Amino acid sequence: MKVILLTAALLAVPLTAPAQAAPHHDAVRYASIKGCDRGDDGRLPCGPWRLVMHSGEQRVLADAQTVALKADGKPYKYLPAPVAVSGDGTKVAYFAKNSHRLAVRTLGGGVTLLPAGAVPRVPQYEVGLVLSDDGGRLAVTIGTGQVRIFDTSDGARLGTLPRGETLVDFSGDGGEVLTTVDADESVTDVVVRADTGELVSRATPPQLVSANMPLALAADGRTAAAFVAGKSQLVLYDVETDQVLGRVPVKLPKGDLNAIDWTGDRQVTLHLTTQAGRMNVVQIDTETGAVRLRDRYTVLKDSLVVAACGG
Amino acid sequence: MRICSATAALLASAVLGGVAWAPAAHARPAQVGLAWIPTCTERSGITVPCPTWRLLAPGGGVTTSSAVAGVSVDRRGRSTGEAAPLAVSADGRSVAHQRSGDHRLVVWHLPSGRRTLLPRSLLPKGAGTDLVSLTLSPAGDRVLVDYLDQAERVPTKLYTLATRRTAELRGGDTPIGFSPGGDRVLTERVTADNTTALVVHEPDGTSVRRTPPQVVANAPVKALARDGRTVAVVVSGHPERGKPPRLRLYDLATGKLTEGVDLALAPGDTPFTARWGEGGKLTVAVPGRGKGGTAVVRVLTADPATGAVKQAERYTTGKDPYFYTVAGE
Repeated sequence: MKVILLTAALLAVPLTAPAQAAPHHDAVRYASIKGCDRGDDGRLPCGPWRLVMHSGEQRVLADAQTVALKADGKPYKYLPAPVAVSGDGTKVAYFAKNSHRLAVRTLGGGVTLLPAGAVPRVPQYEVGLVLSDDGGRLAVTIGTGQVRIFDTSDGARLGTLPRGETLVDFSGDGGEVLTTVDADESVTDVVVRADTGELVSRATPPQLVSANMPLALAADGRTAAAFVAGKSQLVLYDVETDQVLGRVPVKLPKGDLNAIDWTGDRQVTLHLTTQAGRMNVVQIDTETGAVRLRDRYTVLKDSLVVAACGG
Repeated sequence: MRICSATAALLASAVLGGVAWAPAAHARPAQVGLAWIPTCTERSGITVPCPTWRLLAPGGGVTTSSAVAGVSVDRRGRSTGEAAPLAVSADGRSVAHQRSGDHRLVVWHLPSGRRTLLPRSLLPKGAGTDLVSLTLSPAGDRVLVDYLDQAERVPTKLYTLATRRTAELRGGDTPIGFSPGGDRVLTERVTADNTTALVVHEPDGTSVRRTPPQVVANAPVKALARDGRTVAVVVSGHPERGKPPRLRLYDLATGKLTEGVDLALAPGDTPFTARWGEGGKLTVAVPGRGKGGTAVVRVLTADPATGAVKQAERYTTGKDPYFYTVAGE
């Protein structure tokens, strides 16, 4: 089974969870679309998007576009339409089937539709969707070009990122975004912008950071973390001062890095995936390096594409 | 046996004139500035290097030598269809190459005509020459033999001709070049961090290593200075943005990096090799296309303080070269 995993932000469980009442709606672990064998055409997306919950329950996202539409509105059967899940598993972004508008659904709540002109008329498979951890912000990447940031409570466009900057992710609290850009002298710069697109800081990081992307940005909008797989370490970096703050050795379960996110003041969460479709979600204390297995699951075997929570 | 210069000139013009060439096994140039190999097409239509390298002298003149093999061989001795390894020392007076016939690696000292056989132990047992990369020291007295195995386990061998001693550099270390005196070697290696480190190997076997900033790691050309710690860094030009290539200096001992200068070259003219020369200047080579599918290589002196360049030599290959290399590359 070959499963394509879309970029994931992370399922954050507040550290005070046991004291709170468990949310009475379950949270999404991942969204999955089935792949059906269609002979010469290979495995194609078929059926609705399924939301696989923490409880194990499967819900159907009935109003989401499943097969990507081309710019002329006709379906392109080979690729699924984009979908994203917020880090906390409470919101899902997708193209609405009927209106073809971008939608953000809150589980157990309502749907916000973005205005019809929010996204230019491009093939849906050229659109990338990223939700912030709590789903309050949606970043829409169009092709290799522009990134637009929306407030998901009312669909208002907050800002646009300059062309040439590639979105990496939202900061821990959704207040900023981290991007990368090919700068002069053949280097990669990291850039922090507010959700309005306004520049906060920019730096040419050392190789240790640029060679171990992606980078996760904390809620403070300046502290970043990268996972150095070859040394099984987290490296912490301050974008504002261009300083490596330290390295934290960590002992991790098997898997390749699928996503890295700040989920607390001193907590980074990694999504690790194995070839067999297993997902290990670990929380790391950035001061002690202590690792806690937060969640573990195997994706549905018939999945063609999976958007793990936050992705 | 000495060839008088008149005969060599006749030979050269015969080659240039496209006349059927009878191998003159004893042709020997005084100095080589650029070596190139033309493209031949096999009956099957595949393009391969022709059997013979052309050796261009500074100031003009071309010679060929049937002893300098043009095509590398695999471990069974069969032609691979790739160019045989060849390197010319910076002083232009030594050529390290694969010898025709027995495929052995040799260093040909042009002034004396002597060919020094390199020991078989410089290559893995039974290996062919197809994965071999050669680098000569500026005076041709030492040679680096890099075997490009996928796993990067085979150590690079550093051989000193006079003493017949072999030193080994770690398998994962990719040679960049010698210091001007030939006593030190600059290499780069990818670390467990996924970063690229620069390493200077000292004559006593010790080494100094540092992980430089992105701009140095990503630079296509680097050259170690006589002091064994200053590295000249050639930063690529960016034609789309109209940025010319640049030259910066990196101190491997302290990690300091100068702001550098723009080189007085067009954005598309990034040098493909550099080495430190006299008076604190660098000698760089810039590739270019000539008329009718030829390659034109300009050898220039660059001033690291101002970025000013001055042409020292200019070489034009024949039509459609398969490969070329300049002295000191």
